[in-house]
Amino acid sequence: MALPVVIREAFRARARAVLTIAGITIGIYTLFVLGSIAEHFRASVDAAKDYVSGSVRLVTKTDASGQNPGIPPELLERIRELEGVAAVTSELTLLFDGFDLQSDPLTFLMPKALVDGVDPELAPLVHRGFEVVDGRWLERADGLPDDGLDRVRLPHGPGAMVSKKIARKRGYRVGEPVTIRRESYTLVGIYTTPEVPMGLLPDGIVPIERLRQRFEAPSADAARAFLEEAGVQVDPATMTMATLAQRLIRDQRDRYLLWVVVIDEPDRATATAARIEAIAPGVAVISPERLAEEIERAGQMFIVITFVISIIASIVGGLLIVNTMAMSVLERRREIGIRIACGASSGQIAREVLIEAGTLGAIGAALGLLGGLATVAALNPWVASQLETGDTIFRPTLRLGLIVVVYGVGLGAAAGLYPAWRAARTDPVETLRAL
Amino acid sequence: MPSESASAIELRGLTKTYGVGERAVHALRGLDLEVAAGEWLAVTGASGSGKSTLLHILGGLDRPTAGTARVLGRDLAELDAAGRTLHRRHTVGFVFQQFLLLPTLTALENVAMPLRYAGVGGKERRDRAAAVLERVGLAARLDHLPSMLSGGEQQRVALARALVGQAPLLLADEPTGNLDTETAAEIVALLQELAKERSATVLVVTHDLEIARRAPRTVRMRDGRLETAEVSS
Repeated sequence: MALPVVIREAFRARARAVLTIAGITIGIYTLFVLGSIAEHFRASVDAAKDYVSGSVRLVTKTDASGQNPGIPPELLERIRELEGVAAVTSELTLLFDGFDLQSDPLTFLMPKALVDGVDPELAPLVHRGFEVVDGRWLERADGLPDDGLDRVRLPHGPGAMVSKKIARKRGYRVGEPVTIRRESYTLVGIYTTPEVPMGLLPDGIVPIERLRQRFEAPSADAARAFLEEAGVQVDPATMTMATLAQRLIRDQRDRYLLWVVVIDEPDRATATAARIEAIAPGVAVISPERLAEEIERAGQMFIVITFVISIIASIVGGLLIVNTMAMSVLERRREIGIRIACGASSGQIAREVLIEAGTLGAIGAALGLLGGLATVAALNPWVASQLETGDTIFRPTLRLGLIVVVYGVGLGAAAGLYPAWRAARTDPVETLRAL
Repeated sequence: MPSESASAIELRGLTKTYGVGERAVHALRGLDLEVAAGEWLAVTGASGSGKSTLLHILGGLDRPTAGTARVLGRDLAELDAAGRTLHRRHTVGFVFQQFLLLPTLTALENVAMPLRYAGVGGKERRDRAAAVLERVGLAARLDHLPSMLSGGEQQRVALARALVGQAPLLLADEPTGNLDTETAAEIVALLQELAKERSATVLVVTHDLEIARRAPRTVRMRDGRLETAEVSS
């Protein structure tokens, strides 16, 4: 049956057809918009799994008294010497802009930009998936003072890198100052990251020592109280409170809470993780496999929720088609009788009803898809402007587009099965006799 | 095409009963009838006499309860659903009292419809439908919907639809019932002309005595049986 004829038939009861299509449109629209979030999530999860595949994380547990034993230096050395280990480095991830006591506790749902402190020399290894698009990677000298803790060779403070998204959002340029956790740094490089779930990847990378100094430095009062309680006499002429505190930090240098073991060959990460577990029984060894599983699990939950909501919405649309087509078949029994008298087989009658139902589904799917595309196109820039990280949450893919159109048509056709069966069973004699 | 001397329709003891037991309705009670190929036969009778049932059985829309109904040598009682579909598609053309055109299809699409079900390709069926519509005088009305046509024009479209498949048997159920006298006469004349052109056998069920008078042979039915057989004119 030619398409114009099918459309003419489908729109015979115009208001009913329009309402039915509106129902399908809403269902498909929901499927597409939520699906594009799921697509974003799926792509992010895949990228995240890829990103974590080249390293093993080591974590030590804080005991009941609040002390964390950390990993002894000799154990770290043994790990470094293990086969397949490229490097071992501590990692400290903090909020890019520091913690705002007034507002941050309320923004638990809004992903915040993070800054990652790593050994500058190992930054390219730790962040293997990152690509420098402007400037360069951190270098050893970026984090070291020339002749004291507070002086560096760069013009605006130690070196730092930021993601392209946050650079664009905040107007950062290489060579210019950038403020991270209220400290001035010199921006030496801008990088792009794999598209992974928000909050997993840092929007800034700085030398870890610099980050630690600022993050963990106790106040002068706290340091004085600590020393006095311990019975230590402090001679202000020879040792300022600041340098004392800084020494304390240095003493703690091997007690980081998170260590990253970079693996030579990502494929051998699991085997390397097993080797580490064997020699470090008190340390939690998080293999990329386990990390990927966790990421996958979190992603799956979201995808399932999205899927269920979308399916419910579209089933409502499908039921509308069942109703519409069943009514249509009932109203057109006489015409079906005429078609049978003109040589139509039961199969041909059923097929026509299915095509008509599928057409309603296809129109609804097309409209839902267009509406969804428009919504996503409008919302993505808005979301990016609202999030500090400049992230978006919708990923309208060609695959998703095809899925929703095929689903819409399929839903229409499936919803048309019962009416088609009814139509195919029409008794022509009965309908023609009723004239 | 069968010769005029052969029987196009041959009914022996044709019986049709609806329902069972006390509720049984005997629409046809052992009907015997022969119609020669190319013959024009008018069937008259009161409502409920079995005329329409006879038409439905001959058209492959219904099955007889007993007896034989041979059309062009094929016993319709032995046909399954698919066989009856083929019979409707290739052997029979229907013309109904209320025209029964599909309201959403144009005149051309209505006429082309039987060809579509017969699997004829798009261009060929449009060409053939247009040619038949031209033959019935509606060349200028191809793209008109039925609602845009007069009663006479609608019945011409219905005639064209019955003829487009070149069916050897035309079954007409009160074809002039909804037309004024003048238009009815035109339609009957056209039907006769077209049937003759195509050597088609025509069986017309009618209450219209004028049609019956114009038919070479008229039979009258009563209570599911043949009451009389006469030759008019």
